[in-house]
Amino acid sequence: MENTWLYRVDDRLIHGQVCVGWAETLGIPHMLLVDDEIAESDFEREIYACCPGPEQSLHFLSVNEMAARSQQDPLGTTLVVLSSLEAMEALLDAGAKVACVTLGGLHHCDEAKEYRDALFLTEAQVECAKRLINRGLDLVYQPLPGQTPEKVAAILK
Amino acid sequence: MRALIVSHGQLGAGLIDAAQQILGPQSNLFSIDNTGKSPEAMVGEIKKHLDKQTPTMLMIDFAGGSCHAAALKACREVDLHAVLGPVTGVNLPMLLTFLTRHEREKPEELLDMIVDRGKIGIRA
Repeated sequence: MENTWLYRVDDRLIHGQVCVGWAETLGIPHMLLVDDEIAESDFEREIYACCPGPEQSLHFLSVNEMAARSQQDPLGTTLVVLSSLEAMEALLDAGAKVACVTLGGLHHCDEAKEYRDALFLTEAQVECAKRLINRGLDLVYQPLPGQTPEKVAAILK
Repeated sequence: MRALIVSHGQLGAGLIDAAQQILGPQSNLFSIDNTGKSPEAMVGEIKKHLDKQTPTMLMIDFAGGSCHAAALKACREVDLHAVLGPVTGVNLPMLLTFLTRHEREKPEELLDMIVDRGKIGIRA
């Protein structure tokens, strides 16, 4: 895997499944957390900085910063994590070049329907997913690398 | 003092079960698992357990995971007199130390002791 951006949506952002289940397992040394609020919050950054292992790096970017960075290949394969489909849509609206997004965990909340174990979507989120797919984004649900990815378009049919 | 273990899956409940096999039934041990829960739901559940009338030792499965993140956020929103910790990497020796010492030790010393006993328990 060479110098590529791997985009992931997971409402827990940087946590064990991402640091160990994805980054450690696939040998991905670099992670970016993209979120406008978290990028500005010392407290939030300190929380997420606890998770990466000694050989992993984690940096924090705003949506606009990531949109700019995405125009070129990274220096090394980098896992880019956002917290929601809406955040991914905002990243595309900011001009980011994104081809594929892996959906990891969107957990239960009020008015959300369960589609898979870690895929709960409200009606608004379903519409957001459909907009992303219609923009040409390859949106797949895959909690862990060893699990078979499923096209979200097929899940929502 | 109570102990609240926040963990992935049934680790917390399992540790409590193991501790009770050794020391008998305990009424001050609680666990929360993160299975299927959003970050906001986790913070809410943890906060419900934190009550300054009865201080709680907050124990987390590992540093940096979603359980730890939720615990840190919950602690920010409650009276700090209600909480000792959070301490991460919880294992059985740590829980047993809590149970046998929480009535005898000062809170700060209890926390240090729990950390030490947790480390000492790891041998190969």
